[in-house]
Amino acid sequence: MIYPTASNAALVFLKSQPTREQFLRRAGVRQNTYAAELVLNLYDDIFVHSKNLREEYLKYYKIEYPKFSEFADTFSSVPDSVMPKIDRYFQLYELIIHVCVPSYLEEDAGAETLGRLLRTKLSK
Amino acid sequence: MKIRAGFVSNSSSTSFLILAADDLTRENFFQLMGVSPKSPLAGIFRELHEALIDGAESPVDLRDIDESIPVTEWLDGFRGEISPRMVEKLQDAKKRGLKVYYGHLDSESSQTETFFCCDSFEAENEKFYLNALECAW
Repeated sequence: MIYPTASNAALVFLKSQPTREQFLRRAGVRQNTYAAELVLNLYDDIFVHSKNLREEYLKYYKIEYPKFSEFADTFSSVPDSVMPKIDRYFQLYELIIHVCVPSYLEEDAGAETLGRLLRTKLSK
Repeated sequence: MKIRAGFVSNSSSTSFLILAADDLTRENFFQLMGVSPKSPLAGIFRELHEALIDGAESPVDLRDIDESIPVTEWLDGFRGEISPRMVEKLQDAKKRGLKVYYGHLDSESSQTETFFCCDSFEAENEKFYLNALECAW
């Protein structure tokens, strides 16, 4: 599930992390090309340089905040519309990532493209 | 030193050079970039292809260039410096009788063009060589 949080950012819920090879295949790009370089940079933006809020919570904040929703509430990047569902999502999804997207993925069309690459739906 | 506290705007352009042994069709461009027409990113590369075509001067047929003219003067109105890498590629392209498309991408246009304008990249296959390494802020 993807919740756009700004024109260039989104909160992403995923059950598992794709490998780099899976991500390239989904993107329909050939290895060792400029398109592949672009896609691998995007992969790193999402899975290497962005924080998994679920992992952060379990590692560092679980004692301070008994519920994930209490921890998530401290982030302005978590949209209000997600808050009522976030404890359920916490049980369902392994990855809860706040991603800043490159400008070629901005706006609605970009969020849809991101959804296709991550094999997940865009929230309405 | 002056410090400005208000909104600061900046714009950039990237000069590009494409050496071509064939027409720069969308299909050929997708081959060069390494992207499938069914890719979720196809729309983004379609937009880049259109930006390159729209931003290009009329193509130059290198067979028509007089060899006594220095390489740096072959491309009339080329914005920025023709790098040593470009010179090397242009000389090789002349021997092969290729065409040259050149022009610039602009950061004051769509989000997609802005991204590619600020990126710095190079791509090559058996038919084409694309150099968009010269980013001028």
